[in-house]
Amino acid sequence: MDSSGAELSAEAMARLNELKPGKPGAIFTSDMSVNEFLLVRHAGFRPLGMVLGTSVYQVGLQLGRWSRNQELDKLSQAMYHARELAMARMQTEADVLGADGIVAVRLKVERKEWASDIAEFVAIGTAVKAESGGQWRNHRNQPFTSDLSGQDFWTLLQTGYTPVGMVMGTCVYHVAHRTVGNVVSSIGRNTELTQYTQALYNARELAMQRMRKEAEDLRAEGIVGVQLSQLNHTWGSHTTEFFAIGTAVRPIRDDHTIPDPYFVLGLDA
Amino acid sequence: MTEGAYTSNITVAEHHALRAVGFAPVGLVMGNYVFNLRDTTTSGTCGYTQPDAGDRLFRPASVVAPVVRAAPEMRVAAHDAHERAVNHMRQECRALGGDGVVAVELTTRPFPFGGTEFLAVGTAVRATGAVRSPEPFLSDLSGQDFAKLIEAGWVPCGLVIGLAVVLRHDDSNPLIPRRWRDNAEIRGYTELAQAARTAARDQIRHEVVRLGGAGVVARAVSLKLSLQLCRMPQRAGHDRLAEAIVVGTAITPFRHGGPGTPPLPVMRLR
Repeated sequence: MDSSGAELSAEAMARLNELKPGKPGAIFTSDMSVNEFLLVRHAGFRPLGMVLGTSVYQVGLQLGRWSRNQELDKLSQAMYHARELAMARMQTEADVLGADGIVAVRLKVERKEWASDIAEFVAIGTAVKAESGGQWRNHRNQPFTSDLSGQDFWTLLQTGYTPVGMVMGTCVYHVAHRTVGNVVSSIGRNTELTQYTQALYNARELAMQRMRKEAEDLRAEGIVGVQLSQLNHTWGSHTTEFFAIGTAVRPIRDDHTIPDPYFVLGLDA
Repeated sequence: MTEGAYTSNITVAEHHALRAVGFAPVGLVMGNYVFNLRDTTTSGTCGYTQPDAGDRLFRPASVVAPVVRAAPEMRVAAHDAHERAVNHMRQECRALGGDGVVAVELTTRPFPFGGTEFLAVGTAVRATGAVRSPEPFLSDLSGQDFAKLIEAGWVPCGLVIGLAVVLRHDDSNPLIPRRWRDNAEIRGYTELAQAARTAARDQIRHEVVRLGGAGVVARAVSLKLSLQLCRMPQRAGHDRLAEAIVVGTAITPFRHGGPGTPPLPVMRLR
């Protein structure tokens, strides 16, 4: 991950150092629900502190050709770079805390009242450390990141896998407008709009491919919990962002079994 | 003790969960406070004395950029307002003979006649056993979450609110549409947002230490931005204000030893 701009102020460093485990009176802050907190504890991890990274980013301007399917690479780049800045800053904070990983990460894009083309990209998670030691950091000796909930994290560990990092891919795509001839020729007919289909396919494929590439770089076995979203920011109806995000995992032992689940009938609606 | 029926804002499931760990609801409690942030503060200046020479693209290298500053008066005022609303609620709980309040919901909304209203609503509970807390505890956890914590050997010791207000003199140039420019991180704004969020997190930590908690489970982290006229004398322009709030429940272990009952994997049939 790009680490430029991941520097921390001296003040922030001093305060993070206070949170380091082993200091007298060290307490943890967390951004977890009670379920998550209890399960992370049960999985043998101790929360160290809430870590966050933010980047306020101005997304440049790029126009697509009216009648062409194309990726708007400048916009893709912006969405990618801004998210990476936020993630890298969060990871730096976790690194200072001496964490083994960050769980329950939420990566959000918040459009603020600044201006329509400015957005805050923010990553918030809880840094955790294994009680019993062990090699949990990824092959770059960075704390792992995971956007899985505490519940999923627990289940993953029970089944013999560990997260290695959050991976993402994005693609901002301009979907071509239909030509007049095309519109006229299909009036009143059942027909597939192949150009649209093709555009959505391409864009999704690009986003997924980029995510897969990141996972390969992390030497992961696979990616779980992938969320593929189509975000229409402020670019008008024919430009959308396809965003894929998931957690790359690697096996830590050979048997991948969990106890048989009990079946329950919930009495709450 | 209350006479007759109790009121509450908890669901049937929450009620059951509370009863299961030895607590009984005693009544719905609330507290509110209406105040106006602008009236309560007179200072809170940006401290930027350089001429307004446009933003970073057009500012000569010799002119330093504005820096992010904390606005302690505003923070104290906003925090005080939250605190007062919560204290009213605590008093109501005490009057009902409760040991604590669960499922606290904090709402902030504009008051129709001006100002902002802080509202705290929750359900006061009372321990059915012999062990009582000397001072009512507050928590924004649902009944189920509360029960799960108690089962696992943790107890909530108070509602904590981390609140920070920071400001920075605005150096963006309204004459140049941003649309014409390239992808770029806006460093000044990033610093502002990061400072607000970080300060709120530090604040919540102090609160937890003050309450003697071992940690905090937080639920809500939010950032609110606003623009106000710069209050430096003989100064035009605006300051950008960022207010970050983290709300959570401080918790502390009351039982040492084993990790409690292990979770049971279940599959829902519905």
